Amino acid sequence: MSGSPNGAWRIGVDTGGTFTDLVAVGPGGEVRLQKVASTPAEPARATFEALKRSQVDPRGEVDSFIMGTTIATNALIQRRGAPTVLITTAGFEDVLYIQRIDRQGLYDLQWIKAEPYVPRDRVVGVNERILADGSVRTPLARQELDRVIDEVRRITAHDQSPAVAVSLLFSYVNPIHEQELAAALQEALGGLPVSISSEVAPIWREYERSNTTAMDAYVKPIVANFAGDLLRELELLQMGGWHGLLRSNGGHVAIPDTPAKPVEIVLSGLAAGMIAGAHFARAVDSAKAVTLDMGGTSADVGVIVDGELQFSGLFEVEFGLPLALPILDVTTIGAGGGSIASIDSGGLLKVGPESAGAEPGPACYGLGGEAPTVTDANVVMGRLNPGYFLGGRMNLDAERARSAIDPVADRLGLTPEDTAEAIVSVSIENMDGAMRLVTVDRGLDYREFDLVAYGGAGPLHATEIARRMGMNRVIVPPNPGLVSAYGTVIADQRVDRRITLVRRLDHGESGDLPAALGRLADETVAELRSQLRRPEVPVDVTTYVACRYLGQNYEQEIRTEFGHVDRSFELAVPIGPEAADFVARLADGYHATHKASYGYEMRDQPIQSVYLGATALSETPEVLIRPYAGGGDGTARATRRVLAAAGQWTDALIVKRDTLATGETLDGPAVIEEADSTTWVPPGFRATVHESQCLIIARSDAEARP
Amino acid sequence: MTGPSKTGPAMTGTSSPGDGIDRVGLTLLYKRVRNICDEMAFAMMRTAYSPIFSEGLDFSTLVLDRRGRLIATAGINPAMLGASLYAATWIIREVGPENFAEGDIFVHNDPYRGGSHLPEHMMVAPVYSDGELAAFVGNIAHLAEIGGMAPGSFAATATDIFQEGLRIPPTKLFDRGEPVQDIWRIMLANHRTPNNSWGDLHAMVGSLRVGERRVGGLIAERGVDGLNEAFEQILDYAEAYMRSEIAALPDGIYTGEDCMEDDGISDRSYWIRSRIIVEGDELIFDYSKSDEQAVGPINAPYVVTLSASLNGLLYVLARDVPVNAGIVRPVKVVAPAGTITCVRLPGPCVGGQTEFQPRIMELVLGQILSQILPERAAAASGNTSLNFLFGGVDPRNGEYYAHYHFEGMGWGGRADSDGNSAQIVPHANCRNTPVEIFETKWPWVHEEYSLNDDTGGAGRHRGGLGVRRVMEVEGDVITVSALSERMKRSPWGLFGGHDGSRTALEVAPAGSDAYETFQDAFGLISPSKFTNIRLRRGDRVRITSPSGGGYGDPLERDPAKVLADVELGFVSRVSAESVYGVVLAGAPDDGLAVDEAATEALRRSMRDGVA
Amino acid sequence: MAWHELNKNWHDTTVDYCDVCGNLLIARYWSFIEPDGTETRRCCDETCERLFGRLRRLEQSARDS
Repeated sequence: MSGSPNGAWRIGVDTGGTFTDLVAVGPGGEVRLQKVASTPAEPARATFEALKRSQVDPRGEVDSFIMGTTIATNALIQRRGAPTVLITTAGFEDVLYIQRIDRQGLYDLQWIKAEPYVPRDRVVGVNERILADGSVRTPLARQELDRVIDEVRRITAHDQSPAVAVSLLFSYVNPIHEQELAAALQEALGGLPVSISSEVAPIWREYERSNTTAMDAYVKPIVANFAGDLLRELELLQMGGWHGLLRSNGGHVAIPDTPAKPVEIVLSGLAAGMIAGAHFARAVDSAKAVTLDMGGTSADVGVIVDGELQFSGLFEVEFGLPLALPILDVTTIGAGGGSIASIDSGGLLKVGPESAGAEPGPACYGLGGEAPTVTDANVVMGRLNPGYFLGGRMNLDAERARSAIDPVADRLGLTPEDTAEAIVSVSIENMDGAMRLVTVDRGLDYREFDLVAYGGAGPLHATEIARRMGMNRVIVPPNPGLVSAYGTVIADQRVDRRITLVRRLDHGESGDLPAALGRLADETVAELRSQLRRPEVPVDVTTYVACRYLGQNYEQEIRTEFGHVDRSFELAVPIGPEAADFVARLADGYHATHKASYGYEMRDQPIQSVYLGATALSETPEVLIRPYAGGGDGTARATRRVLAAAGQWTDALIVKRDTLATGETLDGPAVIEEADSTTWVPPGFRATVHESQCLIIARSDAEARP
Repeated sequence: MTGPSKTGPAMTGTSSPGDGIDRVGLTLLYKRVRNICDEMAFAMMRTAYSPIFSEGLDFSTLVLDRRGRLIATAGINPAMLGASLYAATWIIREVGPENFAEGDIFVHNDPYRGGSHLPEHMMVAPVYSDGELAAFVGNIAHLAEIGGMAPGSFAATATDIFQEGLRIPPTKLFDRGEPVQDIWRIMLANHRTPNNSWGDLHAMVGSLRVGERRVGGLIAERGVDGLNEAFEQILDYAEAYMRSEIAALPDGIYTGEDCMEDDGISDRSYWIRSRIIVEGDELIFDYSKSDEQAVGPINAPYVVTLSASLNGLLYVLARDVPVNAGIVRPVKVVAPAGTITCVRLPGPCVGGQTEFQPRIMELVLGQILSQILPERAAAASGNTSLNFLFGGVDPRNGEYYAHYHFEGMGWGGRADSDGNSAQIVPHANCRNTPVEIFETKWPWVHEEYSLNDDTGGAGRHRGGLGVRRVMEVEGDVITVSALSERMKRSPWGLFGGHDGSRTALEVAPAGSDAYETFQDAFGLISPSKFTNIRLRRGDRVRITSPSGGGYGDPLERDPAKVLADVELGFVSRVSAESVYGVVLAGAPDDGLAVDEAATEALRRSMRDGVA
Repeated sequence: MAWHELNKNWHDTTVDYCDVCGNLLIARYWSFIEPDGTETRRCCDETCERLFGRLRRLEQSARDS
């Protein structure tokens, strides 16, 4: 069994804010890892530095080179995107300013509404109107097109690489006016990038669609430049194989295709970690799992059901700035190693959401931070080894950690050690609550789930979280701090498409639903095929219909299956005469799903479809990852005093992870250390080294699982 | 996990560690109870029918102890704070805890029994452990249509409660798990869109079932007595929190007043007169000098006045306090029955929740608390929910529909920043209905939905802008009603800031561009409160929401901010000069700039009053 | 001065208010005999007493000044 198809190298890079991680998987599962400081000004530089250090020969046997990148994310967060013009239906120019009129905090009178990506003096209204049924009420006249072109020319006269977004009312039903505008702009102002909402996000709700389209245009020139830089550099290196970027939906896009719809790579970096989480969950036969990627300032939580990551139709860059695209469903919680502990006005202990971040960081970093953090608490409890942080590249100051915690301990009337335990407990309770909501909001019972924990701080807290929530097992992948880079190597190629189609299932109007779904599936497959890294590989397509009881305002997605869901080399087969039966089966599926989620169904109520979705997928061949030599000689073992629970000091076994052999077990209390992370196994729990080199942690008295 | 220790002496702020209370255990428990409320809320939001409670999030979920005292609530709509504290408690006390049985659900919407107004329905269910009553779970949600004299159940010209819809005293909706069909039939027969109510009531029931299961899990861990002892400590904790915040305020009597401009029945205005008495760690809101109860529906039930007072306080004082029955212990609200601040049966009160509550809340936080904490206060927001109701038969499918629409407005300027534009009234936290959903669901076509330029109250920090919505009737007939405010009196500025602009409700007949107010067009008593006006195909409605008041003297506003406002069109060049004293040079196309010398001179002369 | 049951008929759906603060009287009320012999019905005992006393002091001092 080889680690990589054709015995060639698969190279994955994850460019984060602080570090750029490279993982290269070669023949036989050989893994080369590189962690270099990121170069935010020229993101490509750190990548190629890491590549050079990995000593993988680019002109040798390279299967693929794939990156997860935060370039689009950072452009949005730091507001460094292109000067953008927005074209709307006349009368609705303020759509980006009005937003949805709600606010983030209930009692936050000082809250400031999110600033739109396109300022008001760069919005152009166009006289045209399409109605809810797609009919044209006001046609788009030729002289109106000319006027709009003149306006755009005037606004962009002094801009450096501007972009244009077009979002007209009801364009998701009838895109004709948007298409006419795009064509006219191209003709008159060739070279000016144009994003139209009926292509970027053809869904209802004009604010969410317009904002998504504006974001697409906003990041387009930056992403195009970045893709160009990468391609030039790769060509210079004569790098072989297929070159891609990771999308927010967890699929790949070929680097040259990225600028067509750049908004799709906004969550590229986040997606990488979740894909790897799902991969390792599958590796240990976990069908239902929650992924927890916990770092210094925040934790990202995702859900795996039936071995698959879940998707969401909405993500907010900040409150009020939604991205309405199918993306991996991730929830970010403000809880990390840097979360700060304090005492509130009522005298109770509070942890976060304030964070010490990376600078100044926790008090024990000795970089000037004085506030007590979760990381400081872990040092005081003996769970973190001050001498082996980042593999010994950074020393933690235990004395500083303790003096930061002292004032809180005085207020609580507890010892500093028990205070440290309380700080960790409260931060675990915070995550517990957020993770319950992530699952319950999706109608899932977390007690049936495993917890896949990674990131620098995840494996340190995961077992306590799982115990409190009553979850099954904890799974700690190899190299927890580098898991995102693994994700880029593992990711599949995929295209997601979604259209709005509001139909009552009990009316004749739903007759066109199966055909529309079939068409959508065909288009989605065709789009994926146009980008495939190897044209001969099979393509899978799945479809779903989001439904709700007529009158409800939230929908649930019902997976739909037709004859054409197979590994076909042909385009999907359109739906035929079984259409009527399809609608009835869809309705049955909805009643059952609703009952499972909310405890009741309403058989007498009509059901309405809201949108249709299709996912075309081309699976990447499995990759074998075996980073640890697994000496198993036991020489590197020691014991250390660790606080296992309030008032309970105990001798814990300290083990270096790369000395563990497959099948070996460790009974808690134990601390498993490696360069990029630390795993805590509490008393009463047992860690087992799975053949995938994942650690599986379960109650010592639990039945052994396959 | 360790549970809290046995009851020790009551928590008193931060000063008494070593009193035997397990503060960490308490924090963990409170968070878990809050999480239960959140789970109940999510279940309800995703399954409800009425956009006002599913899109708009106009509901709350509750966990209560076995005596019916509120322990935690999902903080979604602050307007329901008062009802959350009292409505479930009322049912439990009036029915008697011993008269509940496992599987029962009680419902009520009675504003004289702790409800806010008739559309908001409260449900409560007991949770048992081996036959022993352990706790209650509850929720409150705004149903879109509950009958009464006008579609949408916001009868702005009602003169008694019976015109406002179907009133339900505490009533069993489920008896040991089985629906009480006679009650369901009476309720649904009295609602105009019964199918909608059917869906919403089920969403409420589903949410209670989620809560029962999760509270059951807590009982399994701690036992009935252990859990209720811990609940007691959570109440004590909230009380201690509030006391320590109040103790930090200087003792004294602070007064303020504002009015409801009319009640829809006559032209007279009704005054609310408020005194806040701060003494040590306790605080009294005294409204006893307010005007008598109005004839029309602008009166507040007691809990609405309480809600507004507490919300105003929480905005400035204690944003993070756990909201439960403990927070009212050091706070008393005096609102004598028969005044506009406490309606007596059968006085109407549907507008009290949406119009009176924000008025009191901003009175408390803007006018009164600004005397104590100017840096945390704000000028008035548009301060009306701008309720616009309509119903009719949709020509596209022949089905009856009714909708309760509200509008965003400008918020007032603040110590550090301008007011937000197009925001929901501050005592609520609802979202708008997108134009694309609006027109898909109901037979209107929009011509415009935009910000209303050059209207924000001028100030060092400008008031936010209101919105303008213009839409045309696509059905044959649509029956419309409205219940609003701020048409006769402007949202006030603070510390020298100017007032904001007012609400307008206008109509133009088919084929005409001549807008006039509904009041002039239909000969109404009130410009802001009317019911059952029939509009026909092609008629157009123009809704203009108010803007926020300014904070501080406009002559102190940073000229660069005035320039930015002119460039973006929020402020006209004329107002920049005449109101802010900022002279701009250049032409808009070539780039404007502040003429510093001319600005300084103009501002000096304006300060001297010779401009 | 004691708690009294409201003892309403089951078919009586009216409500009663605290004479001091306007809050609702639920199932029972605290009966208070004023110095002039009239009865006021209150929603709670000692907190209402304190409140009432403080308000009366306030009115008094307002009249005095």
